[in-house]
Amino acid sequence: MKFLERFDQINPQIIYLIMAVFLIFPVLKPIGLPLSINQQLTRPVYDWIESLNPGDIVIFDAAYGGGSSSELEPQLKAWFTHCMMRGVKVVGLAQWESGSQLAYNALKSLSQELEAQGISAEYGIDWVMPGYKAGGGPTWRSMQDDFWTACGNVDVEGNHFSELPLLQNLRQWTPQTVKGIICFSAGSPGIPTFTQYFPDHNLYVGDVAVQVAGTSNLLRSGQVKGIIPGLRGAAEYEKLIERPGLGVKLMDAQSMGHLIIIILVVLGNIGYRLKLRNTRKRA
Amino acid sequence: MRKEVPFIISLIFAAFRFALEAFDGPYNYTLVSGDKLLNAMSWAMTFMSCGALFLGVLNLFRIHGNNIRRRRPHWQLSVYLLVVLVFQSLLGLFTHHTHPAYAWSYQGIYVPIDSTMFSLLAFYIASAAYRAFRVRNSDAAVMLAAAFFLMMGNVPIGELIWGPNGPLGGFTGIKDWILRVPNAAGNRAINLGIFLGIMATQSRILLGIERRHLGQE
Repeated sequence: MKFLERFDQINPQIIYLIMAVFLIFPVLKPIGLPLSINQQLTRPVYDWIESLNPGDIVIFDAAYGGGSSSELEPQLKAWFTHCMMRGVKVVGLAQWESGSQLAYNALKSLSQELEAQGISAEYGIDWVMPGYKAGGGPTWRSMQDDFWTACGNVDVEGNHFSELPLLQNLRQWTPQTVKGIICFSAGSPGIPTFTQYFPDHNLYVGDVAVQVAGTSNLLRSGQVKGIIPGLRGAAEYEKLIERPGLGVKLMDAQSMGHLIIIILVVLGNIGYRLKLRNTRKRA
Repeated sequence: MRKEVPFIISLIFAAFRFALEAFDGPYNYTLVSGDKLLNAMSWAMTFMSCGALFLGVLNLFRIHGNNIRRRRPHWQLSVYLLVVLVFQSLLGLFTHHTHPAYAWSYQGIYVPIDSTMFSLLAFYIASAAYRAFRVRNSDAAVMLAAAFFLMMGNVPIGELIWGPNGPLGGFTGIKDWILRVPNAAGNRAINLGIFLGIMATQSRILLGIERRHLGQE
């Protein structure tokens, strides 16, 4: 009993050590735990791309930074791969300056890999990255009337929009010209830009896990049509397009992390209860 | 005048912005040049953002320059901050987004540093959850139960123990219900409270009752 009482006060350093071991081990040697597809969150995003015709244009917003890129970039890569496989054209914008650079770097190398595999992902034809545009809400609103002018007519590579074949069909951002938006969001500015200024567009969200609870009410109200939730969502999407990648690989580590937290909480409560009982007995 | 002029400016712009959001007339108003008023305003906002950025950089130099000059505690960190600020600015000015050096500054420096900071949360959360989730009363028990189902519903190991094909949809089914029903209800209540608070504050600023943002009591 004395031994169990000690679980009430485990040294944080021991907790960190246990956590590190249980996170590193599955990354080095994946266990391959089963993974089901969430029909209410991830599946609608996949079905959206499946429902589009080759040549349809979709827009993504990279509203994230370096810290959240480990969760959101596997999502972006899986979703982008799906679009390229289906022949759907992708236009990338960013509400965060860091997101613009990170998404561009990630998609540039991914598009080269896809090209090598025989999947068309040519910059300017299959995807373009106008990137970050300063000015906040008014800029995003004016993109709906005149996309070119609001974006300053230039992409992240410095190309004029008139030189990019894909953008010849995107003078105005309307539900007719753009068949949906996905916002890869890690905070603010993020989803509210679209719920406020683009209410008649189909909106999907790639969310960091901690934000899913806040976005769920938008899903229920119909303002958001689907959510890729955190790293698990990325793993599910990779499974849906039958291209397991980083998301699937890291899910085992996340499983172990959650399991350790639950075990620690249970042990902590056992220790706490025993200590409380013994203290009362002594009193 | 020092009180009245800033107040009149903020009143005019607040009313203008409100009109732009609330009525179709101002929203669709077209200038002589053929541009919509809204588009012209977006350029003004971009210009103002650049102005604010310039002021922010000046302020950083002023504060951290003083730290260095007066050898305040941790002044070395101020040197580091200014060196990085100047280096990254010059890199952006004289190269392009696509330049390998600029891309490396993101992929090689910014992402690893920011990811490391973010990853440390896993350890802090583990330690904090262990200490905080003690069943001291019924409220804590409810919170612990919700956390348990959410954590197990989010990872494959939860499916291995109680899969989505089991009764009640397993851990995933219960997790989805918690997110969809009690969580959504709580979130909406909080959001409504926040928006009512924002509206009240905006009204106070618009009517000149609240003037602390102008440096006045």
